[in-house]
Amino acid sequence: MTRENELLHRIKQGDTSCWEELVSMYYEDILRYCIYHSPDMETAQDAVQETFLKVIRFFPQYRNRGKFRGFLYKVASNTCTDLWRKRKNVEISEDMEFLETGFAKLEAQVNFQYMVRNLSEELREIVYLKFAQELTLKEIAMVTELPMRTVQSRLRRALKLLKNEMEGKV
Amino acid sequence: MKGKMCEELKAALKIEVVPCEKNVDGFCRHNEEGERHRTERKEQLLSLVRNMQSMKRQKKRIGFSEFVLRHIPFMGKDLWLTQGVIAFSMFGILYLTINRDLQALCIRHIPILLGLLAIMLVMASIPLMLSSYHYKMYEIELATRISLPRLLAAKMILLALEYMAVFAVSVGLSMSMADVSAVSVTLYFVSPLLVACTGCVQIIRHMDGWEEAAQKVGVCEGYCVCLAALLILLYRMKPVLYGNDMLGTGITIGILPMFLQSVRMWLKESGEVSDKASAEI
Repeated sequence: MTRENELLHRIKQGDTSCWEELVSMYYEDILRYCIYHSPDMETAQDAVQETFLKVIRFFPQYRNRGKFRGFLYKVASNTCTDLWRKRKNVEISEDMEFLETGFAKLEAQVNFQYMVRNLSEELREIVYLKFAQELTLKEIAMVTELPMRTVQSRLRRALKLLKNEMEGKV
Repeated sequence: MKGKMCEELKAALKIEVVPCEKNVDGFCRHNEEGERHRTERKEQLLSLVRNMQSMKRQKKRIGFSEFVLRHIPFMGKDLWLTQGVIAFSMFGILYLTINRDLQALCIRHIPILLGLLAIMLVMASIPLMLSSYHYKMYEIELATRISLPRLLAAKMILLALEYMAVFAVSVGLSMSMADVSAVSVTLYFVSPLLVACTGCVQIIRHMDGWEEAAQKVGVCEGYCVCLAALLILLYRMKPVLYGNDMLGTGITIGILPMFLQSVRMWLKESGEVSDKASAEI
């Protein structure tokens, strides 16, 4: 049994102290996801907090079938969408742009990030979930509520577009 | 090529979430303040999680039997006191009416007296049963996480205990003083009690809205008065029929399932009302 499943099992048994470890386990990943989906750092951190609190509140309705990560990202996605809707016309701040590119050690990495940002929303989301968050295709399908074949075809299309753009730059 | 591109994509997009600031060369410089802020936010979240869990633990529901026991000092004693006073008053009035001579009490008076006692007890119970409706206490009851059906069921259990106590005393007195059998006393007491309770439950169920609590009480009391009048009329006009054990048994057997079904539906509907009220809140 993985550590995550062990913690979830103990939470179901009533040992709610395991939530702290589970939150710590996923905090960085969800924060990274929220950074990509929020206009500024403060909103991203609010979204992270809101996500975890919602997950804990609605956990009794969750049926543990090994899809907790997908469930968590789904809640994060909905939370970010709600927060973004409240700030419709806000552009991503310069600081956030720099945050995303800041630790890029190579110019190529910076280029990749700009290329991904230029993809359409539906393709960009799948690329982020696949490469930034390292979700499986099944988990991505759960988060985006798309059939797995659709996820696969969109991912292929995104990679093709990125490859073409990369070859165009070279 | 594709595999290499995927690796490069992963390296590019899997950013570290430590805030940084640009230096003059445009490169990232580790921002200690940002790191501290991020850590603080994380600690804040963990603290919220701990608080949520401790609140959930405090809100753990007590068992139903414990709730019934706790209801005794809260409401049970008022219920029992009121009905005890009524039963005692009835006895007192009777005692004075027959000039303190209990021997003057004929065996034929027992059925009507027990019937009227049962109805009086139900009349005394109705206002207390509906007190939650009257004062719109359901918000508070919901806030305490005790469901309305459980609350009603607890009140009914306390009432049932009280009725049984009165019944036991009645049996004891009737048998010792008038040599009336326990079965007969059961029929004289239980039949009117069940008819009164069933009728009141049906009235409460079929009168809509919480606002009409006073109206419900009034209609139930009116029903009980009519029932008492009917008993007296039956006793005066057809005393033989009134004292008929077979008839009493038939009525009791017939009304008991109706009473149980009425109570079951009432509890079920109060649960639905409780859900609706909690959704509004």
